[in-house]
Amino acid sequence: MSRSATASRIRPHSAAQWVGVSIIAAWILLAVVAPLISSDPLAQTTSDRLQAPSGAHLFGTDQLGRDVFSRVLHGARATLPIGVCIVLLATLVGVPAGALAGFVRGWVDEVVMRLADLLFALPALVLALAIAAALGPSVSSAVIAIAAVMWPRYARLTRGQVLTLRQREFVLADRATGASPAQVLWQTVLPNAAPVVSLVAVLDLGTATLAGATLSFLGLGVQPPTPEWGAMVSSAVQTPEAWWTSLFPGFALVSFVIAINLYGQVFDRKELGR
Amino acid sequence: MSGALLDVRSATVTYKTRAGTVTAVDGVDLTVRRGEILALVGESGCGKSSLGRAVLRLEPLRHGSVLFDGVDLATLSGARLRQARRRLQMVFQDPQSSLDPRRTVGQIVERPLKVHGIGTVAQRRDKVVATLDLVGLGSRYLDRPPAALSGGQRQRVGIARALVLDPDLLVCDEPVSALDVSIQAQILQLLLDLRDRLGLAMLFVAHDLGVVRHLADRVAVMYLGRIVEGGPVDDMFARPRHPYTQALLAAAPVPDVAVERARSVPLALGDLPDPLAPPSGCHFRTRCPHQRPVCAQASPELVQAGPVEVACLRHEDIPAFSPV
Amino acid sequence: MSLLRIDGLSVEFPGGVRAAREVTLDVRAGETLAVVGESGSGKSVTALAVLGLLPETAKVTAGRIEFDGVDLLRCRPRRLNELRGGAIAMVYQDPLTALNPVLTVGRQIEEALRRHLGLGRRAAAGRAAELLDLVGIPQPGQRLKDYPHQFSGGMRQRVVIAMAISCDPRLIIADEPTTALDVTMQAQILHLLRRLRDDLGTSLMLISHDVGVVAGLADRVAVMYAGRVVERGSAAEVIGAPNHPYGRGLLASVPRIDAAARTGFAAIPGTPPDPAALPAGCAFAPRCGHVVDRCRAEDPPLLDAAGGRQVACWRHAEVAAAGGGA
Repeated sequence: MSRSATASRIRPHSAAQWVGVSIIAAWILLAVVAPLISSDPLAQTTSDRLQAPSGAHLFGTDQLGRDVFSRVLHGARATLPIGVCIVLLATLVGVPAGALAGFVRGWVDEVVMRLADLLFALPALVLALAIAAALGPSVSSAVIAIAAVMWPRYARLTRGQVLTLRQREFVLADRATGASPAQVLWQTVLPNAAPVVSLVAVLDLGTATLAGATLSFLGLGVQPPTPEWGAMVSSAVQTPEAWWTSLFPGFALVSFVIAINLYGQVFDRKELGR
Repeated sequence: MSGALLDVRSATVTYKTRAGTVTAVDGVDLTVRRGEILALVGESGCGKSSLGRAVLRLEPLRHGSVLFDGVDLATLSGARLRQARRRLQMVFQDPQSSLDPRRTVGQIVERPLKVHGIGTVAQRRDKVVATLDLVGLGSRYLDRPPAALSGGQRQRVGIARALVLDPDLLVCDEPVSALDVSIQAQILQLLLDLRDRLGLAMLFVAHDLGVVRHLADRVAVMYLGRIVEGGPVDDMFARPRHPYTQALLAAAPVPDVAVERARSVPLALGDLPDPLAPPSGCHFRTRCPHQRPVCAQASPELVQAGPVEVACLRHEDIPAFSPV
Repeated sequence: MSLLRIDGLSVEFPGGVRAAREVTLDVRAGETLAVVGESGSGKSVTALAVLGLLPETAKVTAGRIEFDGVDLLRCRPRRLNELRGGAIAMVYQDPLTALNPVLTVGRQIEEALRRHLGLGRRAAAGRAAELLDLVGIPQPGQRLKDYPHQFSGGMRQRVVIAMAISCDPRLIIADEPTTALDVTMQAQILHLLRRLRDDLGTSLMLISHDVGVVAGLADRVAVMYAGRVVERGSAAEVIGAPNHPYGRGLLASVPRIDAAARTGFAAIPGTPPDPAALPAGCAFAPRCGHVVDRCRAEDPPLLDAAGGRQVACWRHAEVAAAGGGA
């Protein structure tokens, strides 16, 4: 793919998509500069517990006297990468598995698909919880658990794409020039499956981020005192009258997920009509 | 047999459908000499495309063998097969789907060179530009995607891709059927020029008899998996001997009012039989105006009749026929 | 006496695509007019415009289409509906998409009969069987109960033709009716069309890219290029000795099976113009061997020429003199 063509494929082309990519960019920026524009998220001042938003604390303080504003900004540094890691891991496992299943067929296809069926049959969140609990509560176990539940999606999707593409004349032409099956699959077929898979992957970033936040909410992902949006909402449940402790992290999460969904549509163009 | 670049012997291709096994190619023999254009003609379902693909091992041969320059391709594998593959290339029918939509023209034509690890980046680029020149496209097309090209231009890219490895033989699977007639002529003339300049041999699969008349040196007519007649193009068109060949020629439209008005009733009656259950003996007998009971009993073999070979038990009894 | 008269029809698509430009054609009672052109010539758009079957994005920017005194472009939708399938019938290229896959063939024909001719069920069934017989389908009574997918391609096209003639149309518009068929089947269908046309006296507007297909059926021929009619006249004149450079080029590029020897391929250089970016002047000028400055500046209208034909070319007389045949 020429570089300018790739660039045009990811550039937003509607107002909604611009809004989406702006919000995502804003959160990334805030996550990066968080230490520069806010105070220590872990600093507790017990005398200032549960203060409403004010000049000193823009978003108020939580039940341990920590500044919610800085915790929300620092929370981005935990929440955002989790979603990305989950999707990356799931595609790294699922896409090759699905590609091989669809291209080679035979027993490889059977094994991959039955494994995927098995995982589909079980309720996703429950399974993720079980895996995370078994691995011990930590960020990496949350990532592995959710990715383990998500990869069959990519496997199935990729397999479907590969099954259709391998019949197309340009794939036949590739074989005719003497390319090995591996070359045909990885260099010709998969790049053509990429648009559909990337659309799903980008939209899944929202779901994955939410799933990571849910696991942290339940105590199985990011551990205290590290700030993370889901975990922050979880502890805020105990102090419902202090609305700022749940509203701001909740809003952060929601805004990020919506932004992903808005921008993700950029991949859903004529490619999918081909 | 010596001097034959491509030697196909008893080629049989079958494929399974839900309703049974279809014999797409039924024990076909054919040869193509160096620098020669052999046309394979027939209507849909005759097996010509399957045969073309089987020659390139894009479809498996149930029985039979394909010898290229004396070597049976089935005995080769791995690196030696890839080497052999370089000398046999294919041009496909549909300019829309035969080019990778995610690559540029330059990348598409370069691909065969990369696949075989030929040359440095600079050498490959030179070869690609030279090949694009050969087919009448300039280097300004290098960075364009197929979607930006017309049907005729895309087909030229397909031909360039087939030529970049300097093959000895091209299998062309209906390369102009999807093009407008005035563009067809451009591409066909290009193929003729390339044959003259490069000494290429071609196995040209087609359904349009007009194209075949002016392109091919020899013609083989196929019906339901078998060759029913074959020989030099001038002889076949001047005096076709198989009833099916006669029917094809009687049906082929001619852009001439007087000729068309003078034409009589079409010669092939009825419909193509079910390929899952072709008629016993001669496959064409159910549509043949000259059929007799003997035609159901024995499958006719190809026999010499003057300059051509015919597979018809009654070819000597059938009156001579001239298409117009 | 014209049965159908298309006058100055211009059709545009979004993006400035001029698919048809001032197309003027007419079909007389009992005659067969062939409209010949390659892709992008505007021939199909013209045919679809007659019956109001253009896609929603198309805009008719000028012209009249008169059938039997009614302007089809401006009449009430109900009137057009009455005509469709009744007085004007259409035969399409792909029989698979023209037939409803979930209804039996008999049901589809009967529906048309009952709608347009008001026949009762028994009468419609009987007539449907007659029609299948007329188009050469064996065992017509039985085949009425079959679904479209149970017919072969050639048989399906016969069914479509049966539907077209079912309500005694005055005009049949056939848009590439044999392009999807093998050549032996094509010959059978053309033979059928000729027989029906002779027996029933229907007018036929035959659209095709294949001049050979048209040569056997047409009384008059119109050649289209880049949305315009470039030559119009009797079939013998236009096909035998075209006076428009495009017509000559087109005929020269068709390889003939009855040639005495191999002659190579005579191509028209260049490619057809982009309908969204047509050149000023004659659209064929960039590819024309007879071009002069006037051609590039002024787009020629249809001019009267030899043999009662009209040619849209400033130099038609020179082209005619340059050679006696294609």
